[in-house]
Amino acid sequence: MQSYDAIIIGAGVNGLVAAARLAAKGLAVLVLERDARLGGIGAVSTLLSDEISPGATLPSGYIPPALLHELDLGRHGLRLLRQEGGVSFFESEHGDTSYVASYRAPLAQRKEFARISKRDGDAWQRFQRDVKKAAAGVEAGLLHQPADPMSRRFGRVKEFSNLARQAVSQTATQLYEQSKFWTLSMDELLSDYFVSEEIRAHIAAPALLGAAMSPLAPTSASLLIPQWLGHQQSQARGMPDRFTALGGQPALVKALESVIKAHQGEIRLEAEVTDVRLKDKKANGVVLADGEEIAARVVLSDLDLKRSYLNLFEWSSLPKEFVEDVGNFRMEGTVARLNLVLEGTPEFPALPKGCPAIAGGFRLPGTLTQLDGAFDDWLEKMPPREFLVDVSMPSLSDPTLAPAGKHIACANVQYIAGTLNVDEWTPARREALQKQVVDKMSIASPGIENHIVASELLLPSDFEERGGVTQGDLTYGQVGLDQMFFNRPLPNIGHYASPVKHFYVCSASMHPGGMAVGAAGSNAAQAVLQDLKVGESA
Amino acid sequence: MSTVQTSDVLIIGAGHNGLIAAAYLAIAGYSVRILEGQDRPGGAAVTEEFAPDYYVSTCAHLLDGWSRQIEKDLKLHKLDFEMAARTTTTTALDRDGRHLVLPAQKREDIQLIAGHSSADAGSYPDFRDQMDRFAATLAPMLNQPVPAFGPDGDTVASRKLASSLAWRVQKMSNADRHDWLRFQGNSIANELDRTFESDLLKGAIAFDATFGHAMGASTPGSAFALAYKGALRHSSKGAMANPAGGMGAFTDALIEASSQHGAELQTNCRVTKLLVEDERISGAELSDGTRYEAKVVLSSASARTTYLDMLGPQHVQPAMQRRLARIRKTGTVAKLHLALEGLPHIENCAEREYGGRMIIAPSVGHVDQAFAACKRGQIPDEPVMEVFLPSFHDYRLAPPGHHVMSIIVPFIPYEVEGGWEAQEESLTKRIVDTLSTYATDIKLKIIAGDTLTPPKIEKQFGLGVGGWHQGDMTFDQAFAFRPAPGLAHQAPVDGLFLCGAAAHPGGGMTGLPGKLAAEQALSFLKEGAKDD
Repeated sequence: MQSYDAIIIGAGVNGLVAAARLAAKGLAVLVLERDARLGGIGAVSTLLSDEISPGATLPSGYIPPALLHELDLGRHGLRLLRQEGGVSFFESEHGDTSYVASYRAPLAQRKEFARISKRDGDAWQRFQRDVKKAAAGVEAGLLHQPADPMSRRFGRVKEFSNLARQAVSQTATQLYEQSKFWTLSMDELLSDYFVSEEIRAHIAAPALLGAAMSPLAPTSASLLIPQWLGHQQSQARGMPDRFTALGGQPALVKALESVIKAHQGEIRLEAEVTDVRLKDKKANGVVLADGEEIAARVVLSDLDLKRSYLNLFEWSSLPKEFVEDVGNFRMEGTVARLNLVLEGTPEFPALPKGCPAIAGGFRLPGTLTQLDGAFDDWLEKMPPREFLVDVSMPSLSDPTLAPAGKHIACANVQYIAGTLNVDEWTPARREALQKQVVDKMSIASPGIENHIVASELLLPSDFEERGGVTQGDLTYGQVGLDQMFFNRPLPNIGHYASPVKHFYVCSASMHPGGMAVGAAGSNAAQAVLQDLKVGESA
Repeated sequence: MSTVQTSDVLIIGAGHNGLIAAAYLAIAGYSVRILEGQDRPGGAAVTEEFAPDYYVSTCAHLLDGWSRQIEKDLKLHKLDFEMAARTTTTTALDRDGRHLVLPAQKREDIQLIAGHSSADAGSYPDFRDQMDRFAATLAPMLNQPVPAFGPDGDTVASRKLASSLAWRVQKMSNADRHDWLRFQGNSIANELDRTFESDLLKGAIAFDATFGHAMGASTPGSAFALAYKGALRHSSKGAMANPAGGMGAFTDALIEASSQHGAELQTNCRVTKLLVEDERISGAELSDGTRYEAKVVLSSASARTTYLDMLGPQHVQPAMQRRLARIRKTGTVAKLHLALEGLPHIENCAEREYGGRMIIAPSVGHVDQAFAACKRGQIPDEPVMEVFLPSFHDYRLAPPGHHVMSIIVPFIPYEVEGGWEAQEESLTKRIVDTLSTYATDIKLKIIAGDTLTPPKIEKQFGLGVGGWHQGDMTFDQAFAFRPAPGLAHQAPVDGLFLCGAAAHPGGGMTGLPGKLAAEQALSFLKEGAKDD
């Protein structure tokens, strides 16, 4: 029987990052992927070829620089592309179209907001300063295993008392300013800065994507933070930059594959793992669907938390309470994806000629109150009436992503319930939703429907079926204070510990979730290295 | 034309909190004058004859979380005041007559839960005990004023508070602390889903958590709201009470308690302006120009009304004005009062249930749907509600054999689609229809009824925009952040204090905001005396 240091189940980005980090440290790694191709949930689209897959991941722009550096991804062919900020379009009661754009240049951004409201131009500076401060606080903890603030070990008792004393040594106003990103709703927080409803929706919409939360819900302001991560280093003063891989997700996957192979790591496709092998309650290998057994010192799973534990183990081999907690981990999809191939370049007549922001895509957020209503419908599992559409058109800035003369448009549509309470997602309902979405897109680009030559609608159920993520939840576990940081995925295993020794979950179900590309995989690898006592020199 | 009258203390608003503050200060020997804008005292605690010979507490109808300490301090037992019933139970009504009694303490109550789900009967005692422990951890923070934090604040008291909180958190078990980390930012719907199976049980607890708040069961923070409510009840040892003669009798007793010590109450005195001299409060002025001078002023109006309308924006920093403007509105409720020809028939309802508080909220979804409808400006299809029969324990309220029913319906919009003039009847119909699926013969027994829409409640009881709590008790609006950060223990001018629901620890019938404001005013008066 073959034997490895580490087996990684699932070849999504986090799984590949974990494998690459471990391989780079000299461990013998084997990646096992159920499908015939790499990329996990990012590769479920069948619209185009594998090379130019529009993918299905949520736009998560932040690739931690430390990670890029450590894996030396540049040498393995990865090129980063700085994304433009994008444009939000709004339709007035009279049918006119107005817009708010995001620019990279600080002055341009301020001028853009001032065009809509003079006060908001000034508020932009204030908002930026505050949200960056909040993001800086988070950033430091992304590539670490979050500490358990309630642990009793190592004199934490004293620490807690000091923490409380420290808190009251500040004024209530200071405390409030520090905590408001974690307590207020997005709408309340943004209203504190911006008068214009459209500017508020413009800033809120990209932050909301994937979240099972209304922008009017208390604590939703915290969702604003991730898009500002990494902004300290980049020194930019405009809208936060979104970096993506040149060539999209497949290029990132290819670079990671190259790192793994360069360090003699192995990857096997069409190898479905059915069980994690246990000996003395410790993981020591896996069993494949065809009965083959492969031994390893540690096993990592890039599947979501529920699949990792509930599908790969006999429940009786796990603590009963733990099985209950994993069962209670909240996963539910909110996003549908409409991928389109467009013939020719769509026009945006409401925009000034040559507006660079459109290369960053466009969105149709409506108002935050409408989105709150859309969330209520989602909660009741109603067919969608209102929704948020966020369209990226990566081929506008990266021509390698589409065949010549064509463009791809990927619309994330939120909030879409995976199952409906009234009836099924019948073909007719799917078609109706697609029409609704295209109609909405035509507010931004009238006549866009005439450009469409191919289309593909992916519902949460499709993500579950094809990508294997529970309930089609692209966030791998809903984001809310109860499932973030030290609470992610569960308060008592927030720090990559696991009730099964030598078994680790490395997917976005773990901290920091989808906040940063590959960070969860990197953190899991770090935990493995610590546990196996692989020193820096190894 | 202005006349001037002088007292040590002026209290604006004769609601229960204002009266309690008045009594404490009068007992301490200060001269106290209470100015009430309406034509009668009591605020939300009044008894009225809504139909000939039928009396009901027209606004609040139960003393939930009422502080026993205040009852003792004000010696209410020596006055002509008694409770018709205490330790009122809460029953979650079930259409098929399989009701639940909460909080289930006794074995037979747990048996009732087992009738819906044996798993729930197993997990309920753990849930209840944990809620009690959370309440016990929070409760001491609600019984005392929040000291001023920061370098210029009350360092000794702040540190004491910090250490005692740290100590209580240390005493929690590891499991409790982990659960609390998850619980405090979560929605009650998520928490209940992970704990229970029974829709009825979950619906009743979700109803309790969100009651009076502008939040649904799935709104993050609604779990904290339940813990907070538990902590308020903890201070009162969990008892709910029903004063003999209704809430008006409670108000009468509070007036008596303060007037015995010389406090003077004047109605029809609407304060429009607060008077300031050298950044210090000097009194108040009525709409007709009458002036009252005082060393301290306590206001039971909301923070916004007190600081922006009465005091005036020139005394409030722009940053504070912004924060005041942002105080989150509370939930709006409607009330329905029914005069009944006899006790309505509710399947399987025993004396204990009839005499207690009954909840109609068949599931968490019902609470969420009601909240969603309310946000859209619609009357919920199936409203959730709290039903109480005060006459069951109190013969004074209705003719012999007859009864009055008081129903509070949360999640009713302040502004309704089509306007309240046109919609009031359909609200009444929808409440009665929902009610009649539980109390099957209720329509036959109704002699008279009276519906109070949120705007009517606002007008009759002088509550801002129909809200009860003057700002929901959520984490960002509680403790040192109540009514707004930077205004918790310091009004924009010296000598001015909030004593109503806007002040810590917030809305409800606890009486604690009045008591704590009086304590703060007392120490201010004593310090002033030292300086003089």
